[in-house]
Amino acid sequence: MNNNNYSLKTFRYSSHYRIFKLLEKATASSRILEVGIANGFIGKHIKSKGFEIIGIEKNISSIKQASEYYKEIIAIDLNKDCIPSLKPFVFIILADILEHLEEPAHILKKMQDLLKDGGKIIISVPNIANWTIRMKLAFGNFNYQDKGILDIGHLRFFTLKTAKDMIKNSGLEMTEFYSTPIPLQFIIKPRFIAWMMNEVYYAFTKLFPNFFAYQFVFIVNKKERGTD
Amino acid sequence: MTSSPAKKRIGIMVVAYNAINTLASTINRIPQDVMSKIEEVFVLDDNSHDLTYETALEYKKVKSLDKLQIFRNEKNLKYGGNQKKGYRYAIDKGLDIVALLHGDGQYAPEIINTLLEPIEKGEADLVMGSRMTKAHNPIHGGMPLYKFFGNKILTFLENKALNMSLSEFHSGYRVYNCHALKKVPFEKCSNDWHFDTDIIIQFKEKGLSVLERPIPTYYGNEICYVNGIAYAFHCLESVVKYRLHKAGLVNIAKFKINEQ
Repeated sequence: MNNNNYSLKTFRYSSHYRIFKLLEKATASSRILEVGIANGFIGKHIKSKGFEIIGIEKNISSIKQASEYYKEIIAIDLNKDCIPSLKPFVFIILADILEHLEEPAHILKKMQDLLKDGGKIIISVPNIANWTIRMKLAFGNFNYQDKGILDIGHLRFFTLKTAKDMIKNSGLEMTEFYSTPIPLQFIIKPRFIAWMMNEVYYAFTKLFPNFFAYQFVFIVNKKERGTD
Repeated sequence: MTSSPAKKRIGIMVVAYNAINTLASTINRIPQDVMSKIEEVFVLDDNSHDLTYETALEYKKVKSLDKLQIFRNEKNLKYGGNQKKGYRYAIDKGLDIVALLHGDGQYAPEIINTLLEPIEKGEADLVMGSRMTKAHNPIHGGMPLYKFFGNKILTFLENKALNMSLSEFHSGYRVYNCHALKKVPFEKCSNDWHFDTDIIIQFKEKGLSVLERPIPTYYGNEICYVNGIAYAFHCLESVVKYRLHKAGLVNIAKFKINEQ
């Protein structure tokens, strides 16, 4: 699998937009863990903020590319290796990674041990029930692609309900939820039209997230009080 | 409207729900000169699920802020219910002015003085910070386009129904004259998000003055507990009920103002 297929989505309401918005709450010395850094585009984008950012990545050539943007990159494959014990983090980024794992719920549980009290985990997963996939299935097609919802590296698929269930069953509490629009900017070039379409599409994702969302973004924390 | 030259007693009320990450910085951002002229900042933690309350206590201790009071609701009163509690507290304490600030940092504490001043000078009974003026572009501030248009349409309808000309009804950045608050049955307003609309209707009905000041829009990852469509519906329901009440067709307790 080629990690260079993954790139930064900076447009409004994208999963990366939500991550950067969340990190606005971080202070300069905040410890952040990013799981599955690919070629390090998130780390590169926030390098100037001075966060203490640690990465986890299995692909050695990706680690080489990304090394300058991270304080440390831990070379492990979460499908095979154990997570080492690390000093707890204020933010943990699980951006488009859980769907690449054999046991995403298990890893999500493990992540809690690495989270500081009051810390946040931001999770994004693709929406398998997105209308484009439904269309393809209606015509009998389910073809893996180089990127997107049916990325060749995806082992697990989520709907809004199954993603929420996974979070709940891991003992985490969802505090924020967002749907992301389809990355129209990659398709439509004139900037104003792309911006406008993105705004309109976003309104649809607010109305029917199950059908229109490209990904789901969850911001979660450990359950701190009773469940009442 | 009181116009005595005596120094006004001002309180800043911070409503907070699951605002662990933003509460301390929001209080921290209140300018020093404002901090020194006010009597109290009181935080009303609306039974958050996270450690908002504990974080606030810790912040008070670390900063040794005598002017900071922190309260926690035994149960979740919701946005309107929380405000009612706070305004009653402000009135009972004998404050002249109370400012409403959101603990999620959505409204900039840095500019709170521009909202306080008209009340201090006795120029208005309620000052609202408006995001929808020409001065600041709310879309550049991160307001989604559908919310911008939703706000515009809703405000247009509300203005028509109430014969007002506000640029928006939905800003939660407000400063109230406590003596004006005393004159309206604000405790009968909704406990929900449209408390903010109900109370404008009450002020309008009582003939109290409402002023607007432009404020910049900031949408972070807004912790959006508001369901937009239900909220819009409730706001419209309130203004329609008010019109029916005015026409004598129905009897709505919260709009019976002059019997107070």
